[in-house]
Amino acid sequence: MIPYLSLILLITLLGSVLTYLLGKNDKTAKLVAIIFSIIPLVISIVMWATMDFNLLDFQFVEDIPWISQLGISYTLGVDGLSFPMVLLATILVPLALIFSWDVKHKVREFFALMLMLEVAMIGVFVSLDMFLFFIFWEVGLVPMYFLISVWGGPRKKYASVKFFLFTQAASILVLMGIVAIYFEIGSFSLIDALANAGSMARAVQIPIFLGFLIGFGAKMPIVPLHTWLPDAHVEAPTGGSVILAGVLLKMGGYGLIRFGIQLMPEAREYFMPLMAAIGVISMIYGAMLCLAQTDFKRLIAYSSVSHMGLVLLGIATMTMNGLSGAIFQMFAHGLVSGGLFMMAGVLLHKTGTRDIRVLRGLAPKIPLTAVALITLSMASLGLPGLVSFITEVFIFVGTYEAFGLWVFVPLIAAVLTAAYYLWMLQKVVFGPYNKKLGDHLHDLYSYELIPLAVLIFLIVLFGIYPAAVINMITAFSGGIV
Amino acid sequence: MTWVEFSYLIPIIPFIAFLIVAFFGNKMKEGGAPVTIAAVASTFVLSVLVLFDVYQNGSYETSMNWIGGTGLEVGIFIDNLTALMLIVVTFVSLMVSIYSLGYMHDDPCKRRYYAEIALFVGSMLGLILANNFLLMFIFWELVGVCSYLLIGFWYQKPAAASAAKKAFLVTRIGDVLFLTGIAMLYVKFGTLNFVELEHLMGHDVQGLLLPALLLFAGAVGKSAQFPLHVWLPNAMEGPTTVSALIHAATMVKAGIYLVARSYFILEHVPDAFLIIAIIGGITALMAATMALVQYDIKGVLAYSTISQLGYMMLALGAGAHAFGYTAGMFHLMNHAFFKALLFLAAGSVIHAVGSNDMRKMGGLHKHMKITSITMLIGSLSIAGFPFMSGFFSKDEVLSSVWHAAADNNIYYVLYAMGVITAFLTAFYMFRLWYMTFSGEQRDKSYHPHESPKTMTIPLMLLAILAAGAGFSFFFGFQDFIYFGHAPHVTIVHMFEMWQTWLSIAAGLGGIGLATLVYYKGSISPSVFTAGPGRRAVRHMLEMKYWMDEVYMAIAEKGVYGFSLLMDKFDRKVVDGAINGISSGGIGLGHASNEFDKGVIDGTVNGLSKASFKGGKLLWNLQSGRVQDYASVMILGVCGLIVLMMLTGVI
Repeated sequence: MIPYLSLILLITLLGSVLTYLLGKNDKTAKLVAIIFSIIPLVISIVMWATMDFNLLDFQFVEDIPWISQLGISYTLGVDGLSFPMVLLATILVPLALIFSWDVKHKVREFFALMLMLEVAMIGVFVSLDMFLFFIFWEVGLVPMYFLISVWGGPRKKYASVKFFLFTQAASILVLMGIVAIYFEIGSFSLIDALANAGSMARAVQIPIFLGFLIGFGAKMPIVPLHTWLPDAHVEAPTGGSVILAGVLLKMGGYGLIRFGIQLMPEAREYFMPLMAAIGVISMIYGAMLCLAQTDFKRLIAYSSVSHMGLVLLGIATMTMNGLSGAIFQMFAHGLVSGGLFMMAGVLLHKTGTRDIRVLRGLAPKIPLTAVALITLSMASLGLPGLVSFITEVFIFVGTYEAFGLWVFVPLIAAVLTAAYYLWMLQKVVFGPYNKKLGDHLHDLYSYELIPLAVLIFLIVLFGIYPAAVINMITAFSGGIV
Repeated sequence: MTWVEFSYLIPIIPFIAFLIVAFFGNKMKEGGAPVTIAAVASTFVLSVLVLFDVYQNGSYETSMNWIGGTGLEVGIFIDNLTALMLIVVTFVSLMVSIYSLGYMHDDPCKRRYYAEIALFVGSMLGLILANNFLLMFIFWELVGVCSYLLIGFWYQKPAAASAAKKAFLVTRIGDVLFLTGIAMLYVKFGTLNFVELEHLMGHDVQGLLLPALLLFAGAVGKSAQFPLHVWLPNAMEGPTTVSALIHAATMVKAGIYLVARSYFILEHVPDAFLIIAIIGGITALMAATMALVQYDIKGVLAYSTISQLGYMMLALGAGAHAFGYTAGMFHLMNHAFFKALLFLAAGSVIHAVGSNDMRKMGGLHKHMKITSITMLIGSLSIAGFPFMSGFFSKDEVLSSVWHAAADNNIYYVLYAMGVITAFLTAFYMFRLWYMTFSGEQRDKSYHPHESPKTMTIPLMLLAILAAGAGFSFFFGFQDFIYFGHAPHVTIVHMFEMWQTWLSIAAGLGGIGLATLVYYKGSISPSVFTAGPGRRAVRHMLEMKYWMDEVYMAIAEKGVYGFSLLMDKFDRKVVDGAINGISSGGIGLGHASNEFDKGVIDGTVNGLSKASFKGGKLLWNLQSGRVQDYASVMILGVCGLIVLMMLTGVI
């Protein structure tokens, strides 16, 4: 059997190294990185075609003993939860790299770090050893830290340090939880831990779960642990933002489902109402903050807070519909927010500003940009026919099943979301053109158009045919609840 | 082989036309207009064939799985109601798109116009053909987006951009509630298919009131019923052709259709009928009063649409055994014809005058006879002049409400409101007609002319239907569109009822009063503002009962103001607390120090920092804060090792 997962990790790592070594010429660095980022995509599509999503077991498992005294091994595998995340990462990284074609400063370092980041992210999703998981989790912070601190905006130091410390503090809680599980189960193996899920006493489960909720929650992020996100996004370079919002945040959701929900059935019952409350608060609070933003990128950042709140709500329902919807929403949000962060970059390139008060009437000047922005906004506010709609339906159905008429509370966020996007579109796209932005604006360059077109194509495709994604997930979420 | 088997083409053809026009319209004549018109025409032909099939063979359904294991499907369901809606929508859309050839001839963005029109029509047809609530909702939202794009078609006008947003947002409130209702039905029954639901409904009718009302909430938003009617008057910021489509065919009728389609649920919850009727009655009367004081020709028609939609809701709320279903759908059909006619005629007037303001018009009859006469026919029809289509349907609506009163006295009040509305409707329509076409031209700065044939021919065709469609009730309509059992009304029977004479009196009374005031001049319009009381009433109507003001206050002062406060709270309190906690423990003090410096020193400092050389930066980091996070990492690893040692693993 071909070790697909190791291949993905090794080829991406090799790509990172080669990008740095061969990339004395900027163009070579970009090409090497993009080509090496496409190979993992091809592999994950092959896996998609060959994987049996009706099975509850992990597939493509590779198991090599590593530090056997401690029960640590190099174990990889994917299931209906992690594979969509792997697919998402392998889709988004090449697109983010293409979009970063105009990076001029320290090009080979940038592209090498992006690939390094991909290794760490995929490693997080596919590790079936908790120790290995944690190593990837920690390693992932470093490239992101440098992406912000070296290629970031004016307040990059503040933002990058804040990002690092926030997630580092969260990591300590995650680490403590993993160690505690190790002492309870006697192994770092996730497969063993899953087999013995429930053997832990309730009194043990609850504090560990709380640690995971805070630790993984800060990464998602959830209110009130979200404040690093807008700062990090505003300062991060566009390519970094795309990956940060598109994939990195999903590590939090993934971790919470894998370690919290799957391993601790008693604690999850206990925390259901709290998680639902935090989820709903994140949704409404994030959406309200979006209304107040004047920086386009900050608006999109807060909308991520709101949408990840929806994910948490879906998880908290502990129904098949809610959980499937949450996992699907992570996938959908990856595509949509990735596209929207690209738009933030596009707007800045074209006009030199992201200030919503200044941007006005762009539609006639740069029509393709306007169409892309309208489409992505509509996708984010859950327009049917685009990918996020069906995820929201699943989550709201799950919410009604689990919490009855409380479902009306998160619906407020659905209206607010429409409000802030329409308000933003009215300012930025419509109205009379603001002549201060210059006489001539160049519409999308091909390196902007290609990734945006691919994303929009996928958003429409999975919107019309959501079964392609949902079929990966349902068996998994059915197995949990 | 039957024609219904090709009914899936009905929404698909306009979608294909949309793609063709969107991508290649610039290379075609009139920005791709022929493609859109041909697409709409072929959907009309198919709809006629489908109607015959359904008439002969009964309802038809085809379906395929959409998301496996969930019971969610994509499919088509055609019964008599669907067939009727298809005919109405495709015919009116065809007239409007032909008319657009003249009306939009000079617009530079024709490609976008015809692409969006095709999408709009296709979405509406999909909505009508859907065989389940979720699919219906999907098209329902697409219709909403198309109306957003088309109302904001002239988006460089701030009023248009704002109206588009308002339409989307206000209807969104209804849509979200609609979706919740759908979710509840799905959780309860495990399916959203109309036919399956209808079967299941017989066994379990507990707890249906809330889902039924949530479905109705969707209709309230889409069909501009009180209290979500505020978006429709602003929607006239779009081209007049778009207004005609929205008002007559592709948007607001969706809500009425939804209520009719949900009758199999509503019949189990009689309370829902009463609420629908009350909302409809309030909307009908309230909107009619607001139409009285409009000077914008499209404004009058917009409020009139709201009022007439209220009429349809009122009829549907009368329930099945009072034949409210038949009356409501009959009025929907007739209204589609006469309202499309009225809007297109108004468009023809605006085309000639260059303004919407009726105070600038007057005396246009002699310059544009076709527009004038067709609009007169439309006005007579909506005013309920005997034997015009509006007369029959209005009478059926009122009669169904009267019948429903046998069960509940509230319907007597609603009946009275309906009769008053009929009087007001006749009055404001003839106020409009006289102000526009009779007397002397008040503003001489323009030279009116009749519109081209592409515009007048649709007017004439619609006028024929607006005049004559009413007789169809006695020749098939009432035996084709009914819920439960068909009514058997004859013309003779109609005129034996005193209620018929009352509604004739209301209509003629309104026309007569308008004639005295705006044609003969024997009563001065100033009567309506004589005295403080009347002035106050007029002011209240001009301010539209202050509902826009209240909503704006809620949105701007309430929600937006609160969001600004929350933003401050987030930056100062939440972020501050988190930063404070961290800086107490580890290194973030440096960062917030950095922040302070950044704020104090302003952007100059920030910009210079941005231009630092990368190498220097990395060096900076090494000498600066890197040890902070390194120490955290080391702390973590130490903790791990200590824990392991303590437990004897190592």
